[in-house]
Amino acid sequence: MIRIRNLAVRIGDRVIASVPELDVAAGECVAIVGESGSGKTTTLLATLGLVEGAAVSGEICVGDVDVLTAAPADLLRIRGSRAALVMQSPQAALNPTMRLGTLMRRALARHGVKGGEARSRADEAVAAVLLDPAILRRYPHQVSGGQAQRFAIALALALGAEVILADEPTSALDVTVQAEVVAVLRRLRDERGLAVLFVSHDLALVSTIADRVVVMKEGAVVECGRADAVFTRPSDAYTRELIAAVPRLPGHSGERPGEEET
Amino acid sequence: MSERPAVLGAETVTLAYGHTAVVHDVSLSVGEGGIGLIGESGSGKTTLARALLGLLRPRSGTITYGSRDLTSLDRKERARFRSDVQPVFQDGSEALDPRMTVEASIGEALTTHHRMAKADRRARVAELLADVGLDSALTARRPHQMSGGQRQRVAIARALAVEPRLLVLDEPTSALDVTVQARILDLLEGLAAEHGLGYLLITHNLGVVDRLCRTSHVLFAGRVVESGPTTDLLTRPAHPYTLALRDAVPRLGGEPPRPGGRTEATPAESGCPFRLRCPFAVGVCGEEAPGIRDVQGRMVACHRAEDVLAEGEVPRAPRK
Repeated sequence: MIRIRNLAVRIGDRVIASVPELDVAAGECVAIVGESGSGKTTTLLATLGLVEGAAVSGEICVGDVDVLTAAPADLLRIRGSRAALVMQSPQAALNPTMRLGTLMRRALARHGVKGGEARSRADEAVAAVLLDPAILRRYPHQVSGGQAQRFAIALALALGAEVILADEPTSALDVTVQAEVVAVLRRLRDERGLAVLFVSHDLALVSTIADRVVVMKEGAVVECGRADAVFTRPSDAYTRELIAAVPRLPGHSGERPGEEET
Repeated sequence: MSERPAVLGAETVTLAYGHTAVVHDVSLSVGEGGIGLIGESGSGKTTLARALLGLLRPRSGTITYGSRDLTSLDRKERARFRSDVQPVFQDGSEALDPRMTVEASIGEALTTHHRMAKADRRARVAELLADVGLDSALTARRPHQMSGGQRQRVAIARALAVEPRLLVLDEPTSALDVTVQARILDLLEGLAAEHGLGYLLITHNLGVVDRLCRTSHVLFAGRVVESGPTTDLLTRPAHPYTLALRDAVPRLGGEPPRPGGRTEATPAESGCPFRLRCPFAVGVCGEEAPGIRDVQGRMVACHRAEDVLAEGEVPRAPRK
């Protein structure tokens, strides 16, 4: 669903993100991990052609659309329905003066879906993210952060999204709520075959959801591969450092993959 | 665990904003070493921190500083309290004047609390920056010229400049990258071991608490629901909420985290406040609020603590 080749994002002559190769297939979750300034969010935004003030080169395809050469109308079509962007604070993206149901109905109407069809799509999408349909009668300020985040995903589903791009979708949430959002993302990947590209600084979280992992540092990819391989046998020193820095709970994972004796 | 009397304590403290009580009957004390305060958003942990810093008067109960009631201190004692107990908040930029350079910010603390001469200041500022892993080249920067992680470390350096006996840390590392977080945790561990620094660490990150705090309190809806040795709480929780928190933490290479079950349910008004989210809830939980009691070496407020402990494993929370 997503295919990236030789992506380079430059400001002046400085490369702020460079990704030689990244693919996300349907039914697959790929995570980009790294610290502040690693270029992970830039890469995510570039995937939808949303990087501003920088020169983007290379090849980015979402479905059959080449993002860098597409006509504005095609780009809008991808952003509006095929691919959905889920950000850290979804509440900021929801119009505070509208009930969530109204918001969803209007979004569907813009895509030509109205009446009974819109209602059934809304109900179905809300159920898919494990929310109570009663939530559609609430205003954004009346729902919790985790509910808002799941609603944002539901909105994307109702519009027929096949790709979800998520930027730290759970880092503002409590751990118990984070677990719910992650469970929803896993379910959508497994049951609906959604392609998920997920950006996070939380390696432990990533290790529980990602099929493949891309580790970035200072704009460059330092390691990529199957998640279990990267986490148990990291080949790059920086990946090992990142893994070692994750705080651990007692009575679990006595083996610290990749950690060197100190 | 500490021989010396606690520096700071709360005794049956209830805190309220207007008519709404948000912290109920909480007691804890902090001396040397780390004490953890664990809870999710809305649990009242930041409100409690504000009260401990003397920024919010309890509706009932007392905040104690040494053996004194915080509200009874005279001006001189209050100044002493202000330098003994230093806060570090989640966002370091809140603690820094946007117009002041790093050197001026930290230097101000040195001058105010230690009457340090200007000549000595520069060397001390560089030393403090090195302690938090920052380059002394940053001394001329202003807050907006630094990253969030750098600002947070400057805020910690500034708090340490005063040579406090105690830090009240409210989510001090949750905005930082993991490698920077690891360095800050090392620093705090070292200061506690070498200088007997005490700290109250308020966080939702159980891994951080486990590293730094021998004893922890778990707060739910403004009440302490479980207290005891941190390792015990995390390896064998006796309260279903502690269990839910622990099982929701993603583990490197582990099973997917478990949803805590109906997190959107608001705390119950009657009976046990946690019962609407609790997979262990039975009839009595709706009739009677559980008091806090001693169960196998920790204090826990749950009618079914023995069952929670015995089960070891939480049954999966019922989903709608």
